[in-house]
Order: sequence, then structure tokens, then C-alpha cells
Amino acid sequence: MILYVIKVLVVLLAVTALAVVRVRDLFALVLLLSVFSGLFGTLLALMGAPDVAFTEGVVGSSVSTIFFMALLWRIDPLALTRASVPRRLVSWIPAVAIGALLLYGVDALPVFGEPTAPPTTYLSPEYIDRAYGDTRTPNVVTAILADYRSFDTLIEATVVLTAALACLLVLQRKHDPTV
Amino acid sequence: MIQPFDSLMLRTLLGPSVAALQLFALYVLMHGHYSPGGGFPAGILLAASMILPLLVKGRGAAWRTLSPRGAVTLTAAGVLLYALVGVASLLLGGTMLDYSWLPFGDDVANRRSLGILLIEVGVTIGVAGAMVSIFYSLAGDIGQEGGD
Amino acid sequence: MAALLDYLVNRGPYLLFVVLAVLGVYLMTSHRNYLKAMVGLYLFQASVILFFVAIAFRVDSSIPILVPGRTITLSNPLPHALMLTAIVVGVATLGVAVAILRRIQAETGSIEEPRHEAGESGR
Repeated sequence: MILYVIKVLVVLLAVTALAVVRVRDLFALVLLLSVFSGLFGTLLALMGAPDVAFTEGVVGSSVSTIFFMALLWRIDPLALTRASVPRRLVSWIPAVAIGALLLYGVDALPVFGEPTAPPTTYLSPEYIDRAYGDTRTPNVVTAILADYRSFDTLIEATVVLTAALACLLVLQRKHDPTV
Repeated sequence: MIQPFDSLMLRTLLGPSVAALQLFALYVLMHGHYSPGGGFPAGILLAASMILPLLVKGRGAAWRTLSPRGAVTLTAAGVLLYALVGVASLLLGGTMLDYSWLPFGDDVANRRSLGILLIEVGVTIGVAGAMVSIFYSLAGDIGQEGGD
Repeated sequence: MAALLDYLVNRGPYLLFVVLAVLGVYLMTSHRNYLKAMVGLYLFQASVILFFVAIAFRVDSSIPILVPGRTITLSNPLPHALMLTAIVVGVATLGVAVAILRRIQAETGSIEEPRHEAGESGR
């Protein structure tokens, strides 16, 4: 049953991505991105990843849209000039080349959802077996993120701090005409 | 800052929305051990609850909003808390970020669970401060600290 | 034809990953408006997150939260942890990219690539 809903959501996501490519109005683009993020969160939840779905839904609907809107307050949403036709046609070449390469790689993967796939059988059973005994935390993803792999999370928090400082540097320094 | 958009409906819904967002952020943070969530969604929900009064009422209103300098301070404090938990484990005899060397609790597993909670609080504060700070930078005027 | 349809149905999310990556790369290279190019980067990032979560899926499993006292098969939690980091770092870099776009708009007046006319160099 879940597999059918996953397939419907996959089609809806592909249609939304096509709409994002084709739309000419920047305001509609931001709203479509919000829709995309909501559908994407639902798809991730159905694929058994509630932590990731929660974070993606919260991030995509609130903070990401607020950042885009803060930009759209200052520009005209309809001022979008189209690139010339030769440029648009030539841009398909790297895109299709990357798509062909990825398809060739996807062909070698196991069937979607297979229980004996290498990512599922290699290291994760160890984490699942030891998580509750080591850390008394039923949520295995939190145990991995905050205990077994906590260095990554520390550096991620530092990256977020660096991004806030970078925004300060870019936007709160006056224009210096002598430079 | 952009002109705040004020209307009767927004003013009525602002109080309950901010209260619900902050309570839900606290719940998600504290229940990160037992249900999906953890520090990152909690931080972003907290940031949304702090940005919402700014969008509706601007900065001069009666809401006690976070100042731009306070937002950056909050971000740095969150990351510092995380790093201090790690360094405390280092100074107390173990390796960095090994929570079994923290001085609370009786059982190794309980100490690690408490260590996870401490760093999730640090992550929440850090992410919330960063999102509010980025919003202040984007929505204010250029070259001015936080606008207004 | 039935074999092709069967192939498409069995690998749905992987094909969506390829479609999103292709559309993301096309948006990044073809549009002169920097905001749409940034949205192409966002689509590409979403496709990578989808790929990692799709390879962690098991058809007979439940969400990766243990219930003490019951044995249930769980999905693979390791890619979920990696993708949580990826999403938060992605939104932070999105904030920096929008800040840079805002500065470009304030300094030059538009967020499109400048058209180069014949005989003009650089600026």
C-alpha cells in the first residue's frame, strides 16, 4: 500500500520540478518551492525517515521561504529575461550527459526496498543492536547523530554559525567607493 | 526593515501561534530521545517563533524581540555549549565528546543520554540564533546593523 | 514494453533522483537570472537527499525508533543521520547565497547576468 502512495508522490514531485523549471514569475517560483518541499517531506516520511522528513518539512516551509521572500521584497518578481535559444539548447547537453551517467549507475543498484542490500546489512545492524544498551535512547538516528557521530554534528553547528557570520559580513558592511 | 504587515487577524493569531511554536519546539527538543525530531527542527521552530512577531509588528512594538546582536550572541553561545561539553569530557579524563566521563548520573548509559540532551540544547540555541540573525541581515537595510 | 514499465515501477525513486538531478543542472546552466540558477542548485541537493534515503529503505521495516521489549525490523538509520546534517547545512548556505544575491542587486541593480555586447571587455 505504501509503495503505491510512494509512486504517486514520485510523479507529483516530478511534475512540480518541471513546473519550477518552466515558471516565469519569481513569486510563483517561491511558492512552488514550498509545495515541493512539503511533497518531498511526505515522500521521505513514507520511505521510513521521519527525522529527515520532519527537518525537511520544517526547513522548507518556514525558513527557506522566508529567505526567498526577503529577497523578493526588493526585486520585481516579473523581471525575468529568457536566455537565448542556442544557450538553452546547449545547456541540455551537460544535463543529459549527467543524467545518462546517473542512469547507468542506478541500473546497477538493487531493487528499491530490498532487505539484503549492502547499505542495510553492512554497519547499521551493529548500531541498531548497540544503541539502546550504550545510550538509553530509543531513537537510533539521534543516538547516531549525537553520540556515535557527534563530531560531524559539532562541525555542522559551526558551519551554521559561519553562515550567519558570512551573511553579516556580506550585508552589513557599507559600500566603500575607494576600493 | 520592511514595513510590518499588520491586520486584525494577524494580531489575534500572533499570540497563540508564537506560544504554540515555542511549546512545540521545547517538546521536540526534549523528546528527541524517544520520537523523531531532536535539536535541529526544534531550533528552526524556535527561530520561526522569533521571526513571526517581526513580520507582523516590526521591531518597535511591545514585543520583546531579539536584537540582531543578541541573535549572533545566541548562535555563538549554542555552539560554545556544544564544544564545552566535548572539552569537559576531555578534561575529565576521557576523549573528546565521550559523554561517559561527565560527572553526573550513576550509569554509563544514563550519562551518555544526558550528554546527548546537553548537546541537543546547544544545537537548538545555535540554529535558532543563526536563522534569526540571517533574517535580520536579509531584511534590514544594507550597511546598517539590523535595520530600523 | 511490459519489461520497461516493470523496470520504471520497480525503481521509481531512483528515476526521480535522475530526473531531479537533470532538471537541477539544466536550471543552473541555462538561466541568466541568478535566483533561478540557485533554485537549480536546491533541486540538485534535494535529489541527492532523496537518493540517500531511497537506498536506506526496506519494504518490511518500520521507522528507526526502538521499542524496548518488541523486536521489529528497522530501516537503516545511518543515511538518515547524514541527510539531517545535509539539510541543515543546505539551508545555511541558501541563506548565504540569498545574502550575496541581495548585495549584487544593491550594487548593480539586477540579479541577472550582464549581457556582453560586442566590443566591450569585462565590466
